Amino acid sequence: MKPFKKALQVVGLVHSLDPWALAISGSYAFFVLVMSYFPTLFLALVLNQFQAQVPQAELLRHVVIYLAVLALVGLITAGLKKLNTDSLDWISFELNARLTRKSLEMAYTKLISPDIRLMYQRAEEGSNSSGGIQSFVEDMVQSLFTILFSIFFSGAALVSLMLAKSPFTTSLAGFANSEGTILLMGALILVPMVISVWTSARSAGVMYSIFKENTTVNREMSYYVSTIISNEESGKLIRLYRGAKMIQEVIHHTVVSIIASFGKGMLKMAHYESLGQIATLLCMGGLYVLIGIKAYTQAILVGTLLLNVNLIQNMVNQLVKGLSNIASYSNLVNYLSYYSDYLAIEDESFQGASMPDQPYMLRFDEVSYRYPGSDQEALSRLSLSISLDEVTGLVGKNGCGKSTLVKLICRLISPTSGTIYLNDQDIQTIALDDYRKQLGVVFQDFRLFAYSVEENICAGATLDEAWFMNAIAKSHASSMIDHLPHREKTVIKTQMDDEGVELSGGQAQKLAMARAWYKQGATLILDEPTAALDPLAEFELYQDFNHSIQGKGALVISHRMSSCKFCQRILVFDQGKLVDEGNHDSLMARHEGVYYELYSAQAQYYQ
Amino acid sequence: MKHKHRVIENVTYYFKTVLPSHPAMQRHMMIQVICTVFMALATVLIPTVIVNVLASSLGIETMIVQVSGISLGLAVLTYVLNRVTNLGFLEGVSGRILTFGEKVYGKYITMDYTDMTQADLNYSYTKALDNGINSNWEGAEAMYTQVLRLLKNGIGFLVYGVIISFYSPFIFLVVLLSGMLSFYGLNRVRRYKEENRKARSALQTKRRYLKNQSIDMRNAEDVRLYPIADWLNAKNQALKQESFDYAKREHAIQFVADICDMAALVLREGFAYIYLVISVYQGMSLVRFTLFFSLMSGFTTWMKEIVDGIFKLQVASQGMDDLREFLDYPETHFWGSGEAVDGELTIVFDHISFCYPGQEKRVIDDFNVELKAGEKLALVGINGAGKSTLVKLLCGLIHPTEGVIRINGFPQSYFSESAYMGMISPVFQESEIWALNVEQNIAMSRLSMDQNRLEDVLEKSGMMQKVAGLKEGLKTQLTRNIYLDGENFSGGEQQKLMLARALYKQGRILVLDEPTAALDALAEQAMYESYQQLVGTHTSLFISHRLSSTRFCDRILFLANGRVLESGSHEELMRYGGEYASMFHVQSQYYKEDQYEAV
Repeated sequence: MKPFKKALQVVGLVHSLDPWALAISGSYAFFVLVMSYFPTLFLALVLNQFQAQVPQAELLRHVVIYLAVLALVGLITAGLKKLNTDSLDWISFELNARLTRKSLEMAYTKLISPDIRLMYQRAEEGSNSSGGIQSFVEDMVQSLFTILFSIFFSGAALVSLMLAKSPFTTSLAGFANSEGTILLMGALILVPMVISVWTSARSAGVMYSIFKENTTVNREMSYYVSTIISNEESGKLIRLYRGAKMIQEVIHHTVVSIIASFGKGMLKMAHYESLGQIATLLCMGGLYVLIGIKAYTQAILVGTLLLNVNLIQNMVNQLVKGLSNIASYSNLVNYLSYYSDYLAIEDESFQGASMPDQPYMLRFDEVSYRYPGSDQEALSRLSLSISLDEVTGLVGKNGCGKSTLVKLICRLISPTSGTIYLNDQDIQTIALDDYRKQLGVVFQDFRLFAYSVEENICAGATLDEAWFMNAIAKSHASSMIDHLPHREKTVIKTQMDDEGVELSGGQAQKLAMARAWYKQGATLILDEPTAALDPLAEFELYQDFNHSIQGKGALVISHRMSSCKFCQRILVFDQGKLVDEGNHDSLMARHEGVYYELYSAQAQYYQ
Repeated sequence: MKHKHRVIENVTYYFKTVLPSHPAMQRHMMIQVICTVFMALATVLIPTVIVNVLASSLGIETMIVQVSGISLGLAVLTYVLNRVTNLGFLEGVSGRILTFGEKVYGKYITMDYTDMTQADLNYSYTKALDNGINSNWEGAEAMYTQVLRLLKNGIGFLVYGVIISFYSPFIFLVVLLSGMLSFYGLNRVRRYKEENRKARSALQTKRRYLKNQSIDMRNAEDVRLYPIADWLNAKNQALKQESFDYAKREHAIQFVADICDMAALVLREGFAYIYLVISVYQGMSLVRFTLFFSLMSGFTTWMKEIVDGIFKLQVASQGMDDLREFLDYPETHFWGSGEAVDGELTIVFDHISFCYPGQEKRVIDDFNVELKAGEKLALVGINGAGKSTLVKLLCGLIHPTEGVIRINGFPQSYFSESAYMGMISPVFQESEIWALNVEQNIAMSRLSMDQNRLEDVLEKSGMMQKVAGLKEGLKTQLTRNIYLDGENFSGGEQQKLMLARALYKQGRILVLDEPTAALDALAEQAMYESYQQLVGTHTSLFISHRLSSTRFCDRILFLANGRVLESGSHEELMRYGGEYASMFHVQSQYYKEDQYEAV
């Protein structure tokens, strides 16, 4: 049974998060039940003792003992509750920490794959609407334990009740003693439970379909509310393009639609709930009558009567509630199993051979790449060499395959066919960690994090003062950093720190460059490194570049054709193929071709 | 500036705000209260009835009739209660998201941009959302839930109290005393939570940030090319531990509260039994004994619910405080109510100066410029010279600290915000694409659009080819935020989309901030060539680091330290040989064959 397997999967997940969780949960459920039955038990005892005419002093002594035991059990229960709530919180924190870790460490192609993202999104959405893994433990696991223990406790008492015989011989007594009565009692207990489980399941089904109906609408609203509204950039757009009205309409529409579909659904659910509860009520009524008859015919004592009335009431309530919980939350299992699947995605492998001693060349051998779901190849049987000792430029129109090349070099993606070699080694065979260590990349849409400038530049590596100063000097970021309120300790972005600053595009770009420079001895790959810089800053950077790079290699992609002039070699791409190569002078000498066109198009305005 | 209202005041405020749009709410609450109390009484009666029959000489038929009667009554009440409870729940949710939610979002979206960028106001907004609106169990909805709970349990408590007092008024006191004991314990928990709320929610924000960043595709490349994963994981582990420490401490205090609760229980049970043992030995009937005990446990349940309800209501009231703080937050009122002006627009910057709030440095310093109708102005200068600030000032997003900007003689503050902004078509440096389809992103509307206008702007912005190549053309969904198979545009394509959007709007003032930064040379050239046609007779402001673009403008302003240093056409400034000329030389040297030094 699939849902059962999923439930076990989630239980396994809980256990891996906290090995003690299940034991604690079970013990706590046990003691909660004890605390609820114990007073009733004592009451029955007292009543029976009254009927048996026990002397007052002795009874009072019993009361004192009872109070002491009650206190002890209460203490244990409270202690277990503390352990239980600790465990529940831990599970929630640990799950989130593991999810974060998994996302960070997963292979690139997996993280961007729509299937895996959908899995994650479903888990999150389900969790948000149904309560997450804590709910699972509290409402499902604990309910299960409660049911089992209830059956155990009440079962014993019930059995003795059923078997208790009246000493009389009236027809009523005969009825009270008959097997028929026992069967009838059994039926009156089972019937409401069965009905309740059915109605709970139906009720949960209604809830589930409400959610499904509203998934897209919910997602839209959540998108507008959390992404768009709280964002400065969007703020500009909203005001300048009258986006406010549109968003307010979306919100209103969503809210109204959710309430309408909830409205319909909830009335339906109310009917199911009532059905279940009324069935229980009527059967309980019947049970009371039967128990009453037993007491009337003196099969049992008055105290026992009350005890049984209470026990049965308790038991049926617990069982119904427990089974309802399980039925209602069965959807939760579906969502949570996605978390389990997500965490089971294999990590990126860092195994492999070591790097060659002196890496000097990257060679592409008939490399092709096609993005998943695309019918065209982004790169087509590419063969070229890139020397790691010189500055190579990469040019071409938008969409020609330049960024695909960079991703291949970074081993974020791997060729659909063909091989890439570093010296003579297939790069796929080299240990990923070591391989990536030798690349210092500034992506076109690089990202920085809401922590200090220093931490962003080191990006996780340990701080080496000398090398740090070197990196910020080479990226011309020193003066910029000196002017920040807390210099390199300044936190960038303001969302989590009152004293954080928002960097301008140019400032951020210098930080990203510093981050790349901070990787000691790395080959730089720069994608549009001066897009946000003004002409003077750009000039400074390029002037210094050759000096800074000191014989190490770099790969530079830029739409500013001026940057090509200091590249020792230029690769020209068009529609996924290498169409030309050379240096600036040799390429211009052709007086035709992609490079000539691009360069001339820009240069004409500067003549 | 936190204003605390009294709980009663918040309750009144809540109902005054919500009831007008939810007329049945009061009635539903009353029905729920009545049903609950009657059902509780009925449940207590059943064992009493049975014991009564046994203790007296009534026949078994009496018992059957009475028990059946009560059960049927309960059945009817159950049906009514369930129905009304669910209706009431809906009203509670609606009160939260429809009544209050829309108010909060509405205010945030429509307030002046200057306010929106203030950290304080943002913090107030976040609190209003987190504590007032975003959960079923806090803030606005909790006001409804807890008030209802207090009504139900309060009335039940009173009814039972009256009945029990017939036995002994002391019982009432004992229960009250035990309630106070429980209250003391829970109060300590509440205080701990309140004292630590800010710290704990800061931790939660930080953990949530890391979780979101880890799954964000835009970070994926950098995370893998640098040892960022270890760095962020280490931070996350530390946050997790700290959060857990807080949780453990709270649970420890809760443990003490539970002990108090247990002591209260022992007190009640002890007193009840001792009283009863004495009474029965003095001749109290078994029936009365039975009734008493049933009432007793019901009585304590009411009491515990009341204690818990009071606490939850206090917490809910704090959420309401946050909500009201945001809704009452004073806003900047800059705009008037004037309508937009038509035709060709002149723009005058009259002694404009600007400092960011709380700072002394003038980012713009006595800026005086007049743009004639249809004039094309370029703004150049190094990073930090104030270009983007001027753009924001012209767009009306921020307001001058000194001086006035006039359109056709009317000051900015004459116009209504939407009228003024309607006159401007901006393209900013950063592309902002929403999770809508292509045509919706261009028209910034979800309703019908002008197809002719769309085609025209697609042509002018150079997007025609790309859109023609998409499977669903203009109806293609963009980004994967809502539809997971949406299309993601490249940097260059995004930039063209931004231009299309600005053109579609047909604002008479065109503002372009680095519109070609992500375009390749040919696409850039195409844009320049159509620029004259693009801009037409619009008055326009153009900012770019690529000085090649300034040639198409009538006049160029060179900005430094917030002031105009040089002004003139490209030829005039080159002849002048000042800052502009030298910057132009710097950039063009790479494009001049003879002047470049070989590597």
